[in-house]
Amino acid sequence: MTRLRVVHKAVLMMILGVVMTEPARAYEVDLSAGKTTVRGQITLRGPAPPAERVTVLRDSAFCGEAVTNESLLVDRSSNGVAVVVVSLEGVTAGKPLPDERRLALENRACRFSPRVKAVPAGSQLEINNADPVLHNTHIRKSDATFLNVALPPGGKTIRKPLADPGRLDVRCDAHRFMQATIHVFAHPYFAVTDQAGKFELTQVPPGTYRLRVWHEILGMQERTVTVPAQGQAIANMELQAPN
Amino acid sequence: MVACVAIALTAPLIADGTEDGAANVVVRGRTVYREQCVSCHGVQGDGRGEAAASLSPLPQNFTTGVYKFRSTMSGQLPTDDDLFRTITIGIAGTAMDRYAALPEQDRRALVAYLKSLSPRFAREEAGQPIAFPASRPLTPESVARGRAVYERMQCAVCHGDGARGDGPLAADLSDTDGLPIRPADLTRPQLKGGRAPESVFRSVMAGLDGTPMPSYGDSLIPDEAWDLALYIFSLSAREGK
Ligand SMILES: [Cu+2]
Repeated sequence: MTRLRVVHKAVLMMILGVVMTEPARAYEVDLSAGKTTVRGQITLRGPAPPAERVTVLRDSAFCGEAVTNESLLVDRSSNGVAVVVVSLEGVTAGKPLPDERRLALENRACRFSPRVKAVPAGSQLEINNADPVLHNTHIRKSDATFLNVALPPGGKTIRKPLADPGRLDVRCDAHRFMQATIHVFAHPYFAVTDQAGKFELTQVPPGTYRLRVWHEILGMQERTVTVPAQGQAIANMELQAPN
Repeated sequence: MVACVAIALTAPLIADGTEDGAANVVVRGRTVYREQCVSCHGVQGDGRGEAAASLSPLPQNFTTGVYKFRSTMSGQLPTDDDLFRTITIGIAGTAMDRYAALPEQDRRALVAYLKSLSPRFAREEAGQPIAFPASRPLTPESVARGRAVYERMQCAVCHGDGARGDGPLAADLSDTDGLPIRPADLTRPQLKGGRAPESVFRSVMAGLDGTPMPSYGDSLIPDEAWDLALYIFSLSAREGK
């Protein structure tokens, strides 16, 4: 019956000219698969622009007259870029997903905290508002609404499961300068760079993969990484500074 | 594959509960769509029909699966009944007419066709409709409780203290396409999602996806949202319309 339904949906899509994309192969846990560590540093090419100051139009009595957009954090000595989301795409089997399955997203001082976060699929998103002003948490996944919830002051914590992989863009309609991004991965080979722009992915199985890096301002970029059966692989990347 | 398509197209045009029946309902829906909807919503269903450019708000884009008027939680797909309801009653104050005069079978077929325009309906289940509380009458007490909810939930930030759509944030909002959008004037005799307490309850709890109007389904218990709906309903009654 289920198979029949799938076949008919495919037929229907063909009649109507809708393209169906094949889902990516599911990740499997294989504890013996990987022993190699992939390390790297993400650096900025070109001068870091000064942090953007945004004038606060609403609730400035509480939020402040202006906020600094702290989305591009560059280490002065090494040009390393902090808070870059790094992932290895194409690994089909390896270590289990991280145990941490809870993501607390707080509205505090008219900011989302954390601003950028990477979590495994199956995590629970928990949103709350510590401020005495109304926020809403409006989350989109490509062109679809993922969630748009009101967060009145003193309101309840709102929970929503993050079941599927992908990038979620978080905004508040009341304060446009409020931004956050959540990356959900269906595999464990992801990391967020530290203050020096460095990252480390452990227990990677041998193979050739795409290293994908994403930064809120610098955008997304990929390179190929070949991982040997033992030891380590170095995968650095340079991102172009915005003009 | 060709044979499959041919079979699907020649089977009887009824929703008989079988997969062939379902496919034929979609084909019927497409025919109705091309007659009734295409000039505004476009051949692809992306809201870019010939008449679209002159309309404000712009016609619905069916390809994203994002719908304002739902009984389901924010981010969830609407139910078939939600789509059927909007087709039937239209959207007040917009170019979206009511299509109650179309045979019910054709409206149901349209629902099936609209769903085929977004791949999300094949991937995701529709949400469960948010349950209504036991209906409470419109009394001065329920209206006063509803007004208190209006204040506590800070509805006035967008809709204004007098609920006329003129709150401090009103001029500063945009929809998810980046187009400016105004909060509803809740004192008007017509509201886009419907004027009845049931309709307002739905919009408050579910939110209007694609707009800044968030869902309060996690913040309010159904009785509170019902009181709020009665308060908003009372505003148009007070205007004497
Ligand atoms: Cu906010």
